[in-house]
Amino acid sequence: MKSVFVEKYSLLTGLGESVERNFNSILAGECSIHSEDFHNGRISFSRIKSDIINSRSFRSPDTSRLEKHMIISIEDALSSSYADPEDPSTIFLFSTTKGNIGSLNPADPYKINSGRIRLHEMAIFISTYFGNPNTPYTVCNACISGLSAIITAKYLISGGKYKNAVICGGDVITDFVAAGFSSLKAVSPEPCRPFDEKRNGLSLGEACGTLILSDEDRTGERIIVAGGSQSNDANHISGPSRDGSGLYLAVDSALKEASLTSADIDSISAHGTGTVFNDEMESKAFESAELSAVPVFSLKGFFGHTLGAAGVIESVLSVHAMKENIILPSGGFETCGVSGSISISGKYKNTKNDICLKTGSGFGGCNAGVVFKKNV
Amino acid sequence: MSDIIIKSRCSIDSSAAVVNGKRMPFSGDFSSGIRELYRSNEINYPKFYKMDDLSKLAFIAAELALKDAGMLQENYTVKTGVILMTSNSSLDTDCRFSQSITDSDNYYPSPAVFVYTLPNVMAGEICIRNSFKGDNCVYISGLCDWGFIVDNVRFLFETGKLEACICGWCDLFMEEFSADICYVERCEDVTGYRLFTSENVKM
Repeated sequence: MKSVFVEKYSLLTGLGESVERNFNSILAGECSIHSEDFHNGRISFSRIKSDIINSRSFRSPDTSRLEKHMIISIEDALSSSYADPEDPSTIFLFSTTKGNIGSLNPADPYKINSGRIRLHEMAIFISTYFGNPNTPYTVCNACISGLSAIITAKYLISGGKYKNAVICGGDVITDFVAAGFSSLKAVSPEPCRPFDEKRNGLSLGEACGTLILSDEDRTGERIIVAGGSQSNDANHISGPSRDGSGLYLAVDSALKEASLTSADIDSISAHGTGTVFNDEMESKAFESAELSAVPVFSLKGFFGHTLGAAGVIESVLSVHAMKENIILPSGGFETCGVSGSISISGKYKNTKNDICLKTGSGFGGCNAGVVFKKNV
Repeated sequence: MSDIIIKSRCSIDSSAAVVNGKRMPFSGDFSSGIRELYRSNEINYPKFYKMDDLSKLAFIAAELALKDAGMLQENYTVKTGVILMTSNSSLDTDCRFSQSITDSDNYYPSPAVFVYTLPNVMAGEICIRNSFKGDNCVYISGLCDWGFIVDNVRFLFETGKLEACICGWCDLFMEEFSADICYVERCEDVTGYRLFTSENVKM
C-alpha cells in the first residue's frame, strides 16, 4: 500500500490566521478564549476575527461565514501545494459537525430551501469553487470528524484511488451550538483548563483548517500518516466510558497499523476538552496503552474546542511541531487533576518529536487515534 | 476461499420493511410505523423509545438484519464496525432543537434532544445495543454511494481493523425516510453466500 504524506496545511483560529502565527502564539502561551453572558449564565468561547473575511472578496454574495473560512483556508494551503484542485486525481473531504446550521429559519426551521444547510451541498459548493471535478466526501462524526476525514483520506490515497486529498475541517459558533452545550452544562464560564485539577468544562471555539495529503513526498518533509483507527465505547451516547477502554482500542489499532509500539511515541496531541469526565477517561486510556511517560498536550486551552475543525487543526499544529522538533505545551494547565498516570506537557520543549499520536473522542461514543511519523 | 459476504440485509421505506427478501408492510406515519416494527418483531429494548427518529430508523434496520441472521446479542468481536451514510444528517432533530431556542421568552433547550443533533449518534446507538467497538463513521452524501461504502468497508477488513460490519444508508427528514443496511462479515467458505461487492449490493 502507498505511503500517505502530509504535503501542506493552513488554519484560522481565534488566535489568528496562518500556521506560524498560531504556532508562535501557542509557544508564547497566548489564549483567544473570552467569557460572555449567555441566557442567564456565562460561557467561554473563542471566535475567528471578522477582519479576516472582511478584507477579502468572494465570488458568490450568499457565501456563508463558514464557507468563507473554508475558502480562505483551502486557498492558503493550495497556494504553496503541488496538488492541482482541478485534476481528477485530487479529492476534497470536509469535516464539520453543524455546517451552515446558523442559516435555519428561526420562524420555520423545517422549511429548508436555501443556505446549503445540507452538509453535502456546502461541500459541493466549496469543491466546485476550486474547480474540482469529483463529488467531495463529507464526514460528520461528532468531535472526531477531522480525524475520521484524515483516516478516510489515508484509505483513498493508499488504495490508489486518488493522488491528493484536500481535507478541510470547519465549524462556527452559533446560538444552536452554544445553547446545546450550555444545556448539557458542559461549558466552562472561564477559559478551559484541560487535565488541570480546576477544570470545569470546555470552551467553545471556532476554527477552520486544511490539510493536504499526497501519495508523493514532493516537499521533502517526509511526514506520513502512518496509522489511523476509530472505535466506539458502546457505552453511552453523550458520556465517555469511565475506563478509557474505547479510546485504548483506537490507539492500539492505530499503532498496529503504523507498525509501532507505545515506546516509539514522542508526543501525544490529546483531545483534552477540559470537561471532568473526558480528560479523566483519556488519562486512563493513555495509561492502559503504556504511554504514561510520553508528553501529552491539549491545544484547546489556547483556542477552545473547535468541534468539526478540531481533528484537522490540532493535527496541523502537531505536525508543524514535529517539523520544528518542538513538543507543544498544554494550554491552561497548571496542576494535574486526572487519576490516570500521564505526563502533561507544561512548557514547550525543543526536543526530538518524530512520532506524534493524535487522539479524539466524541458524542456517540466514538474515539479516534492517528499516528503521524517523520521518516528519518 | 475467504471473502466478505453479505450475511443479512434490511431496507425500510414508507411502504415496507424488507428483510432478506421477506416483506413487512410499513403502515401509517413514521412514528407509528416504526413502533409497529419494534412491536411485531418482539424487540425488547426500552432505550428505543428515547431515540430520535433517525436513530430509531437505523436501530430497527440493524436490529432486523441482525435478528434475521440469527446474530442478535451474539458475542461479537470488538472488531465489528458501523459505517453509515446519510443525506439529511440530523436535520430533523436539528429543526426540533432550533424551535426550542428561537424564542427567548420560551427558551427550553433540552440536552436529551441536543445529543441527537449529530448523525453519528445513530451509529453509537447500534454499537451500544450490540457492544460493537470497531471503526464507526458517518458520511454525508446526496445519494447512497454504495461504491464508496463497499470500498471503505473492504479497506477496513483488509487492514485488519474489522472482521464484521453494519453498513449502508439511513436517511430521514420529517416524513421522508429510507434505510438500506447490510450486515457483512468475513467468511471462510463463501459457497452459497452473496459476496459484498458494489455490484451485488446495487442489485
